Amino acid sequence: MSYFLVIATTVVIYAVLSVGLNIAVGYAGQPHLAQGAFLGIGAYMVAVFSTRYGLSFWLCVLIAIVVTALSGFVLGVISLRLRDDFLAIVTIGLNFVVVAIFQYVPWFGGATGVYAIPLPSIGGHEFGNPEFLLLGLVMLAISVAVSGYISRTWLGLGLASIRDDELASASSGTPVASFKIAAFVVASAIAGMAGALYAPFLSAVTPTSFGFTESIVMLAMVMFGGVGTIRGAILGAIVLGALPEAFRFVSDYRLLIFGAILVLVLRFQPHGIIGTDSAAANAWKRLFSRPPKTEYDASCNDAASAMSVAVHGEPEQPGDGKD
Amino acid sequence: MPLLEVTDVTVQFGGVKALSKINLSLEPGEFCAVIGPNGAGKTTLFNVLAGVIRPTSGSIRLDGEPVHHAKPATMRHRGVARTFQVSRVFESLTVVENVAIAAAGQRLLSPSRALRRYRADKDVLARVDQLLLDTGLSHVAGTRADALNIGDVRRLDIARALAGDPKLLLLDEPAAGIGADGMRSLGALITSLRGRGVSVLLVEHYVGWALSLVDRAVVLDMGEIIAEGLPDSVRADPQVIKAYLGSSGEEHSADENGPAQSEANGERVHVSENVTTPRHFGSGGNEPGGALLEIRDLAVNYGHVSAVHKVDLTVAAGEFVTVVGANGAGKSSLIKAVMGLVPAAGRMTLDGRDLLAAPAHRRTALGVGYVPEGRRVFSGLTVEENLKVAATAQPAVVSQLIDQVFEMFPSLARRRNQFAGNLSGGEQSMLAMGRAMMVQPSLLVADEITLGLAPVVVDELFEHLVRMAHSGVAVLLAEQNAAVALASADRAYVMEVGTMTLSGAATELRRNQRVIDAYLQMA
Repeated sequence: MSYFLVIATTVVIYAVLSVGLNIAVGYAGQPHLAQGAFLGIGAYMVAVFSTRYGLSFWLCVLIAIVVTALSGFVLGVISLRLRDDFLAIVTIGLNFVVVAIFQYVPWFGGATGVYAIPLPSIGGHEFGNPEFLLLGLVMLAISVAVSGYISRTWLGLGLASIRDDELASASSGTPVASFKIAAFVVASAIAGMAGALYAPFLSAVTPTSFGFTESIVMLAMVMFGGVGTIRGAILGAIVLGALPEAFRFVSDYRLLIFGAILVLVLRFQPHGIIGTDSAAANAWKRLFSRPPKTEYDASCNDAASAMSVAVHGEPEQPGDGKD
Repeated sequence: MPLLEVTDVTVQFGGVKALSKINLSLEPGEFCAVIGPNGAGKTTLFNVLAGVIRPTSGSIRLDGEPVHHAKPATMRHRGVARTFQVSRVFESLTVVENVAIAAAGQRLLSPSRALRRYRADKDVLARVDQLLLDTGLSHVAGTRADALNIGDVRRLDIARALAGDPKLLLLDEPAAGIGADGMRSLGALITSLRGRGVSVLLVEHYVGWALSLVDRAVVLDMGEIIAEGLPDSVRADPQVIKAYLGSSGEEHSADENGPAQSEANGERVHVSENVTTPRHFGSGGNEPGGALLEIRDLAVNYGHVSAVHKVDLTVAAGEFVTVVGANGAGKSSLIKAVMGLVPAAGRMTLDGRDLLAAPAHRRTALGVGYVPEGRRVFSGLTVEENLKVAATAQPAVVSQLIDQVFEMFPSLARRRNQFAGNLSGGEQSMLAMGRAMMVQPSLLVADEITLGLAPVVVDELFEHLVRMAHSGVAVLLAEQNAAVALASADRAYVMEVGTMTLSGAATELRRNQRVIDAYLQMA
């Protein structure tokens, strides 16, 4: 039971991370291979402040979120000067910079990291495995709510336009720079929040647990499930987070299987398993959407058809208003 | 006070002056067309006004306020909206969402202001709805932009630009690729904008269409304004016609084919003036009358856009054939289809062998040499390396071929160890031709070799093409500079909006008024 709870909590933390990452990668279309570093920054803030300075866990969570949001702001500013593959390389580099800082700055505990991180408590009740899972789920709910809200705001719409065509977006009046920075800040803050839970959950943090590999895994989760959608980010975290455990019986080959599944999915389902335009999403739409009364439904997603109804009140006849 | 005042605007890219001392003013509500041949600087002017490019010197005033250091988003907030030559709509968003972004105005000023559900802003959505009605897009309001047909994509681009009620609307070649019906209904849409009080600056290569929509026209050539005035006066201006067709053919042969010219050139002029049917130069090895390249019913489509439609064309061995036509007529697509660089349907054979089935790199082996538009030499390699890279033959043969190329282009021989990137434009063109010759082609296809080159250099390049044809290599050249091309080629096709509208001996076409009409798109 306790083993299951540990796996479940790990998966939920990954889900929080990939839902956050999806804001930068999926909504804003920016390559981002440093979510693992932001997880690390969040985790280290909690580890250091709660172990060495005895601050309460909840205060540490706040510190973790603020510090990662600021780090995200820096990455956002950097992203303005760089495009596509260059930005990807810079974000990769960021992992190594952050790991090196953890390793060589004594304040972070050096190569051995920080251990004996106190367990969080609430009203004098110390956290056990169920509480970790519960808090993880709360954090997931928060990140889903934030992410879902953004996707319905002008900010979300503006980010989508930047993703589709940056020049056209600027020409339509979107302040591209500040919108991009906002996406990186929110994505990072969510990673910081996840990190704040991760540190006491593991009870120890070491520099090398937050490197490039972790960042890759998180990006893979987003891509696997379906980039740009919250459901995809969560499914990716569940499948890829639980997969190594599910294949424990073939321990030597599990990374091989993990890799093979990833390659096959991206080759045959480039929109992810349940992303927009994926085979599954289209089948779902065919099965469960009402037969189209107008020509709207043919190709629009849920938000869009909801929106057009909101705009029009009721469907119009095709050809209305034309010429 | 004029709405827009452009004073002495110059744009320089490195050593090239894309615009030189442009003066232009636009009254509120005025519709003005900017026309001019390919490379005239239309797009540069457009980008300057849209805030994409900063002018090197000069000033731009909007409502009397200087704006020349503005960025695209700022220009937009100050009332200048634009469309894109290749429409850049937000493909993953619906039509409503596309327009809503542009209509959001203050909502999009900062991320914190943008933290509001867009569906809650009924006033914005009501404006969007009205705009979609005005632009004839209501029936596709909820459709994702990537599922629209090309005509609706153009409408969406315009609707998006109109959102937020701009003072000045910049339209960048809105008619490109939408076909005759699309142009008619788009013309009606543009005319319907007159009630809005918006000024329109229309950059367009469909000259006849553009002139029918505007109050005034400005003609650009080589970065300068060469004519300006009412549509009718611009249409009849001999300087404008000359700019479109290139330097006049008659003058060309009289002025420049003087005694100093090579004998081959003199002979060519003499011969071509007597010829009315396709003729064949010596050593191609084909039976007389047999076509080397034979194209039947060729079609090239890019998504919804039909670039080439039902084209028939033949080139005999050793014949110099040119395809002329205005920018956007489909010439480049035709050439690329011959080389296998764009997917094409129909029938195409070279010396009886099927070409369409072969990928581009196999077509060189079948005997097609290619001179791409813009030359595309490998700038980091030396002249000799450029030639070697293209060679497919045995090493011993390769050095012979290189010698032949250097014999043909002595100025390249002198620069054999220089980097190709350091060559002049004319030399790069020669290198591109020489590189194409390295595959020992029976057919050389070339795309716009005159673009951006001085007239003297153009003449020299054409001499080389004629000489190649004489030596038995057939030439198929797509060229916008009709005057020069028709003066040198044996036979010509005139291409308009994706189809061949005229063909015949080059000398006859030179005198054909229909060619001028084709260029000015009066048909």
